[in-house]
Amino acid sequence: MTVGVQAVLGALLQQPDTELYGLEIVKASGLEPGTIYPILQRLRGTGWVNDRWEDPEPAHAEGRPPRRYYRLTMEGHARAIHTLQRGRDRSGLSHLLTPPGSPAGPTPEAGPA
Amino acid sequence: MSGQRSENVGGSMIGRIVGGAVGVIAGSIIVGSGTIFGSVVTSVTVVIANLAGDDVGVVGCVLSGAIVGVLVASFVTGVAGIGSVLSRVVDGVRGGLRSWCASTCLSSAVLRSAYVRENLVGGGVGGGLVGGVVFGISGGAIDDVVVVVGGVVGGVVGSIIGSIAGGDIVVGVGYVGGAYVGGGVIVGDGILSVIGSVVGSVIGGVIVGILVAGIVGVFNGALDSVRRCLRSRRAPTCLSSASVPRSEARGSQWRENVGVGVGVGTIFGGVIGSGISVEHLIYGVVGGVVAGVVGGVVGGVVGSIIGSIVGGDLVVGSGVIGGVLVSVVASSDDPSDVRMLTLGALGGVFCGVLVGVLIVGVVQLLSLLSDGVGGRLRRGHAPVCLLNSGSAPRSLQWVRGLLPGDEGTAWLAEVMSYLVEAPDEHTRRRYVRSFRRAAPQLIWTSWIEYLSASSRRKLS
Repeated sequence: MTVGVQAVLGALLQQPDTELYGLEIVKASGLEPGTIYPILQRLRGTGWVNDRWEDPEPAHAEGRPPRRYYRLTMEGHARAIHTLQRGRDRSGLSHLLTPPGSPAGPTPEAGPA
Repeated sequence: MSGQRSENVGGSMIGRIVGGAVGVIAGSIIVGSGTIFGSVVTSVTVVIANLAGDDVGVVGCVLSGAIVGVLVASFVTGVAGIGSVLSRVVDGVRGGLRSWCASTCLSSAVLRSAYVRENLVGGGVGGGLVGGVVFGISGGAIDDVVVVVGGVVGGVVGSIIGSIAGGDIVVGVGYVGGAYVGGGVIVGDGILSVIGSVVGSVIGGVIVGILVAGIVGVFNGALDSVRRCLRSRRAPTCLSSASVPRSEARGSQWRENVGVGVGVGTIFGGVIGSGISVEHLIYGVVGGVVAGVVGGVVGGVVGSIIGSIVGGDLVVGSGVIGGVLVSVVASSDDPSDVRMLTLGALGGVFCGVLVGVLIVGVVQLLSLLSDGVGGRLRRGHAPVCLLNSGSAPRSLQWVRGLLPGDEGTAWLAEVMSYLVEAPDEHTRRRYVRSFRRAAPQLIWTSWIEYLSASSRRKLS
């Protein structure tokens, strides 16, 4: 699994109960937007991530196009934690499992359900 | 009859020169500004010349000049298009070398092919067909024997030019067939009529095939629209509220439709005209102006409205009017004959409907070719009404057509949501560069995922 995929999974795991749209994932992962889309596409293909288009009416009321929201599925959540744990052991990417501002993030086993 | 024809067609030298020059300029302007009014303007030119009291020779020269102008302009446009294709391929090669990714290079070539199909085939086809008909008419005015030679040679020349201009050899071959059909009908016997019959059958088969595809496309489109409405009753609101002008969102399709519409309409006009009325060509051109305008406008408007409804595109109907006018002008031979007017009107209605359905079929085929497998047929899913591709950076729009299914639409919609929410212009440009750099990877991933999903569906 590439560092990019791990970064996206880490971003989605930071707020597992919240849907994130593309720009939020970009900011949380630190990746470029062009890189994000193919990764999310693969994750959708494998069933790790669900996507949903925002209702156009509120978006229009705010004067912007609808966003596309992403969220980890149950399977994706479990696998992401497992994958990132392995990645952390290998490459020291433990911060990907750590919510921002938290001095010591939860361990994968104690991660968000 | 032959002598009278020759005398009439001859006209004055000044009339020829002026008429030809006007026609060439008009044709160039027509093609340069879009082919939508091409046939209509040509017909109007004939009307004006006739009302001015000039003789048939001048009228014929104006008409011929206009058509030659269209041909020339089509050819020039085609050459320019080929040059553009080459330059884009070079750009693609450079881009491919820069990114070390061959797909970028390929995509540029594919993109230009789609562009050629969309923008040049219509003009080229129209020019080729009209050229064949005009040569046939000119020949018929001189001598019955020359009719055949003029029709066939003119058709071949016109179709070759049209093919070059349109970048589509297959279309050109089709038009050669049309010219043969014209020649065969004119002669009524001999080897050319046999050839005409055979080729005409082939052409007829192709036309019927496209017709069937058009009918199927109409029903598919109608069903698809109903499904979309049932799925989301917000669709019309969405279209109007997302600040996406419907005309912009459909601009590309309109251009495509109009080009094909004018081309196909001209085919019918030419074939019908050369087949029916060469015997009475002299009076047909003069009297047909009146009969054609009345019958053609009435029949063409009604027919094109019906065709537009069938095809779902009013602009196409306007293009069809031109074809119908040409047809009726050429097929009418007596302005005082109520029967001819009625026939002209009915023929206009028939041609309008037929051409409208044909256009749908051709557009469906072009759409499938240019949008990837099932692209346009499935474009009605969620993001389509949210997408203003007209405001998307041009450097990104080409990616859309290379993605499978409706992925391109979804991707571009998401890209637009990123760009709109970018905090400043610098960030926006950075996003655009990022999407552009990631395009090869995106295309690869999209197709892999698409094919994998298709395989999974088949297995399940």
